[in-house]
Amino acid sequence: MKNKRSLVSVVDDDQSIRESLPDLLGEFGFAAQAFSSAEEFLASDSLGQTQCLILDIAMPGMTGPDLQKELARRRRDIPIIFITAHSSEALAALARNRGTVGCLIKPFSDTDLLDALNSALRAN
Amino acid sequence: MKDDLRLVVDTLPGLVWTALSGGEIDFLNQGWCEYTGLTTGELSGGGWHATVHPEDLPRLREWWQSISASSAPGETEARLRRFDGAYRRFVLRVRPLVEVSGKVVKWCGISTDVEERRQSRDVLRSHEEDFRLIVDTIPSLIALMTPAGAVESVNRHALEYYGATLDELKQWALSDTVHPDDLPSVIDAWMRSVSSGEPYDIEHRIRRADGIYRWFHVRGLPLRDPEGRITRWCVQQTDVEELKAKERDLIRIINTIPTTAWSTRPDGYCDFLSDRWLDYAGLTYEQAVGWNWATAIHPDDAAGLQEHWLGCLATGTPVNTEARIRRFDGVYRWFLFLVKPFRDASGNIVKWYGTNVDIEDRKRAEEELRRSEAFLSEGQRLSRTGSFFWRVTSGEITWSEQIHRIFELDPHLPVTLELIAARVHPEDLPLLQNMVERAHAGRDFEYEHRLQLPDNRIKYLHLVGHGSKNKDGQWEYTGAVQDVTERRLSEETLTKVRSELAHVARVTSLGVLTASIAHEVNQPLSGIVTNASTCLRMLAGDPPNIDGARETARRTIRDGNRASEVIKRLRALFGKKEPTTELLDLNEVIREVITLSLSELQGNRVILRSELDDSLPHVIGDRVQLQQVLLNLLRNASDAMSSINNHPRQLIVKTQQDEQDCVRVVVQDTGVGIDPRDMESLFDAFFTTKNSGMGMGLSVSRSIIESHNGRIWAVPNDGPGTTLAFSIPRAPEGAPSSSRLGPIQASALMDTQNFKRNP
Repeated sequence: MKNKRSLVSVVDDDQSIRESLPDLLGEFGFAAQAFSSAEEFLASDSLGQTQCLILDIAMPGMTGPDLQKELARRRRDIPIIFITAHSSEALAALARNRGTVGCLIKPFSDTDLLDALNSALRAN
Repeated sequence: MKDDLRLVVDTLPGLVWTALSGGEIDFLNQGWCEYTGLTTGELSGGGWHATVHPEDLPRLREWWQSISASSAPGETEARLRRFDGAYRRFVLRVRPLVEVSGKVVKWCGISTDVEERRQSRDVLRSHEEDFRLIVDTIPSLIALMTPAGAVESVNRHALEYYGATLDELKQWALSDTVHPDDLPSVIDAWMRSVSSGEPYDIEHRIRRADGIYRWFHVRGLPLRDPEGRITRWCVQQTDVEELKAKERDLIRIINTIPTTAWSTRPDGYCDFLSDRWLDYAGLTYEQAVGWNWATAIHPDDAAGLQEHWLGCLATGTPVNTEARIRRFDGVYRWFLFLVKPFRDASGNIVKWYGTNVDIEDRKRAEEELRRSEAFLSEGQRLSRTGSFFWRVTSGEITWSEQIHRIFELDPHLPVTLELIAARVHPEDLPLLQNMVERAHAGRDFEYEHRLQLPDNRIKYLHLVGHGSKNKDGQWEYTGAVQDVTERRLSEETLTKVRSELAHVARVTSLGVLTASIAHEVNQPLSGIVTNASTCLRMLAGDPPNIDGARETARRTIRDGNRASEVIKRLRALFGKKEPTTELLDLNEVIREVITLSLSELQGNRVILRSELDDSLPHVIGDRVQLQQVLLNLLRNASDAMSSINNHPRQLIVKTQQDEQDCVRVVVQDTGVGIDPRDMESLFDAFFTTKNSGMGMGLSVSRSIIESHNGRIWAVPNDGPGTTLAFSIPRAPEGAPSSSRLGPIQASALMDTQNFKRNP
């Protein structure tokens, strides 16, 4: 599909997500990198190469929205797909900030994820 | 002189003589010569002097000179020597022969032998002297009085005692010999005896030589001649001062003893009342003597008292009674009448003695007591609380009426431990045994136990006993027993309702929890879905990625298990389960928890140190719940240190007793610490700083501790790390080891996920 595999970074404190998502992203044809916290992601080399960020909202320490603000502050314009286990509208509204391309409620289907990725990369 | 005359003169039975007016003897009769054995010639002139006893001669000569110088007749006595040398006493009588002119011409004398007569008179005199000696020696004052009552003579003692002469004594009625206060009655009594001839018997004071009056018992009896006429009175005065002094002492004692005393004759006639009695009643002796005292008895009591008293007199049996006596100010007070007969050797009642004890205060106290007993009894009935008294050593048990009612036992049955045991619920008999043991050890006790009545009804009792030592050093228990059946039953109902409510509350809060539950469940679910999708895609690839598919399938199973764990925990959390409470040694609970988590702690390279206070009091609580709290705290501490590498991961568990009668458990770590901003919300539900977990651990811990009436808190250490601690009240003294104190209102169970996460 793409010549160069786009890098999709996953930031989630849940181990299941960190283990399962990269494989699925690989099946979609993306390069994938998983981080257990926002801080880890910010400190990594992947920050500059990430084409799309799949970001958990509720995390100890810096939360998903916190990271979004931080990226905005750093003028890192990375499209963000929020994922969350909390199906609350408030969280959904929060997610509709600048740079948010989607918000997936866990558990989500592979097609929903792919749709969200496509729209994110299109935006990019 | 003519011969016949001379013959007469010589024959006269006496010594006849004549003398010239100048005193010179000129004639002596034949009797002289015969008596003296001397001749007339030898006797004439002054010759007769030789026959006079030398001791009598001077006086005789003097007498004769004075006689002869006068012209009066005379008489004297003298001893004259007989022919054989013996002196005999003679009475010498002489008369002058006087001329018409009055001139004495001659003296005629006759001397009569009175020796025989004189001797018999001497014998009489000596008898009289003996008698006087005896009278003088009698150790009392003796006086002889004339039939008219005048003093005739007194003995030596009397003279010495009075220090007065007989003449002075004859004037006793005009002097102060008798005490002036006694004199009128003495004169009166004496005149009465003298006129009636009745024996005289009186006590009065008589003045001693030194002016001091002493008491005498004076008795007089008349002496009568054969015709029965009184010839004399013999009066004896006996000094009774010492007896009187003793009597005065006795009277003083009787009058000083703070009791009212009296005595009566055998017929009940009152003949003595102590001063206190008279002072109390405000009566004089005369106003109270005999039966007059009855005027002071309360009108309502008088008839009964009289009847009672007559009964005592009739039967000779002293029976005490009570009656009101009027005080001088008109106020009636209750008195106890104590009476006792005094009997002589043959058992006849000689006298009755009695005292009156003022029992007004006692009566009033009795009244008060009766009233307060009535109050108490009513109060006990209303509060369903009875009181008891138990003397442990003797086994003597006294119950108030209410306990009899509670136990439904006949109040006349003697209370014994066996009787009690027969009523105590069989399962609670060990409590009774425990109580007996405690009581023997002098320890207070408090129990809740059940009674099982013959019809199988159950009663719940709350029993409290407080021991104290009596004067003999034996333990005596005073206590109360309350029938708490109703409270107990309503408590049970309440507990049930509360427990159901708690369940409802938990279920209600399920809605609030849904978000969290969804999160928890959705996490592994998300993994499952993603893994399954990946797996399918890998299998659909060309060629299929079998290894990748196998790996994702394996992860699917793992996440499935994880989801199942979450469900299981939720079931536990929202399951309906009643906690149980018991008497716990927290040290023991901690040791169990440490044993359980030791390998895990060691795996985390945690150094554990426990500082457990061996004298820690027991607490009452749910063992499992408290273990969960401790596990949670240990786990939290261990987790907080998992990232620590620059200093030892040290965990200290301490127990101590704090000032508020609470037992405190402290868990101190050297971990990352807690942001002070988070301290407030630390114990809130869903608060977590962990990458995993529901944030329920500390919240549940708090609800458990609070359900134990304790509190839990966290403080940052001075050094690295945090200290979490909780304290719960110690068990009350004497709490039974198997408790019926009611379930603790626990509303939540432990979130144990942290312990199950790592295999």
